[in-house]
Amino acid sequence: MKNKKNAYIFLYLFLINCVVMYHYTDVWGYRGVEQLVTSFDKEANHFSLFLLVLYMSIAVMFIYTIIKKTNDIFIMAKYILPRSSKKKFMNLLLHEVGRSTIKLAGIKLIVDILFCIWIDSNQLQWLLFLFFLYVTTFFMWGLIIILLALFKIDKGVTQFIAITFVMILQLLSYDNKFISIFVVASINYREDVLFLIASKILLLLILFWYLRKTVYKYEIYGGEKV
Amino acid sequence: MIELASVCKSLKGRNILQDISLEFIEGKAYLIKGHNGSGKTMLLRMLCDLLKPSSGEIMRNQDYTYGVMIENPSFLENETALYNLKYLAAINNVIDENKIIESLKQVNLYDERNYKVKTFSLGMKQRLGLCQAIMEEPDILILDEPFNALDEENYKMAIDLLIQLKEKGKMIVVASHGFSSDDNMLFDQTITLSDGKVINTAI
Repeated sequence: MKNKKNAYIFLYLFLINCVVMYHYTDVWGYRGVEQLVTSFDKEANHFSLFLLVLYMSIAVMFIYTIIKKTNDIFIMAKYILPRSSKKKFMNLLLHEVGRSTIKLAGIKLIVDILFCIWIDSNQLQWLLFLFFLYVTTFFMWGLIIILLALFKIDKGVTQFIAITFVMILQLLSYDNKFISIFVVASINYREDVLFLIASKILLLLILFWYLRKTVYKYEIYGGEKV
Repeated sequence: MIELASVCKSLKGRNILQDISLEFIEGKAYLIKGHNGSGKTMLLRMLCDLLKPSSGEIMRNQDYTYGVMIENPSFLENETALYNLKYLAAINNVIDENKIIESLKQVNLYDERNYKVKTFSLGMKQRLGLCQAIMEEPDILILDEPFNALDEENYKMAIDLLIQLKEKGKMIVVASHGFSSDDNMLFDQTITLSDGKVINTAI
C-alpha cells in the first residue's frame, strides 16, 4: 500500500517535470527543474503563473501530507499524552513531519536526477542544494502547522493559511531576499547559498524553541477540532 | 496515592472546578457522579495530567502509568482496530502484539481486529477505547462514561474486567452521570460533583 502511494507520488512529480519540459521546448534538464521551483521564466525574465500553479500543486502535496500526519497524532493525543510525556509527544510530531518531508523531497530529488543526469550531470550539487531547501522549507512549514494545531486552530483553516502564505510569499520573494527564506527557492537562490542555509537553520531553531515552549503549555480541554 | 488539595480550574473566566480536595488510593475503585457540566471530565483530565490546575496542588507519590479513555473514543478511522492499538503500543514499546491480541479478546473485539474503525458502532469504539486503556496494564485507569453505549453482555464483561484489575491493585476512576454504585461490587467510593464542587463522598 505504502509502495503504491510512493509510486503515485513519483509518477505525479515525473509528469509535472514532463509538463514543464514540454511547455518550454528549449528548457531541459536542470533549467526546467529550476524554473519550476522558482516559478520564474528566465527567458522572458518575469514570473510565470503557469509555473506557479505547477509548483503550488507540489507545495500542496507537501502541506497536505504534513497536516494529515500531524492531525493523526492530535486525534490520538488524549491517549498519547497520559501514557508518555510532553517531550515524547513533541518528538513524535517532529519525527512524523521530518519523515514525511524527507520522503517527499527524496522522491522529488530522484525524479529531478532522472531529468538532469544525462544533460546536466555537473548540476548534481545544485540538485542536492534544492533537496536541502525543500526539506528545510517544508520542515519549517511543518513546525508552523504543529504550532497552529497546538493553538487549536481548525485543520481546514490551517490548510488555507499554509497554502495561501506559501503562494503569496513565493510572489513576494522575487523582490525581497528576506522573504525567500520562507519559500523553497526564489530567483537569486544561487547567489545567496550561505545566506539561505544560515537563515533557514536560524529560523528552524527559533521555531523549535517556540514549539517546545508551546508543547509544555499544551492542555486538552475537550471538543478539540482535529 | 493521588491527592488533590484545594484544586481549582477556570477556563475563559469560567470556574469549572472549585476547591476540590480528594484522595485516590491504589487498589480502590472510584465512581464520580454528577449531571452534565458538573466538572467530572475536567476532574479526570486533571488526574491524568491533561490539564493543570489554576490553583491548588495535585500530589502523586510516584510516577504512575495511566490508561485513559476520555470523552467519545476517537481513533484513526481509516485504519483497523489492530493498527490503532499497535500505533499506541509503539509509543512506550512495553508490550508485544500477543499482549494486544489478548487485550482484544478480553473486550470481545478479536474477530473485528482487522476491520476499519470507521465501520465500528459507538459500543465497539468504546470497547476499543477500553482495550487501549488496559492493554499496557497501567497503574491507574481513568474512564469517562465507559459503559453508556454497551449492551448487557459487554457491560458485564467491562465490569468483570475492572473488578479483576482492581483485585490486581490498580486504581480505577470512572465518571458517569447515570450509574449507581449499588448496581455492582466494583466501586469503593462514590464522589458526587455539582457545579464544579464536591457535594458528597460516600463510601
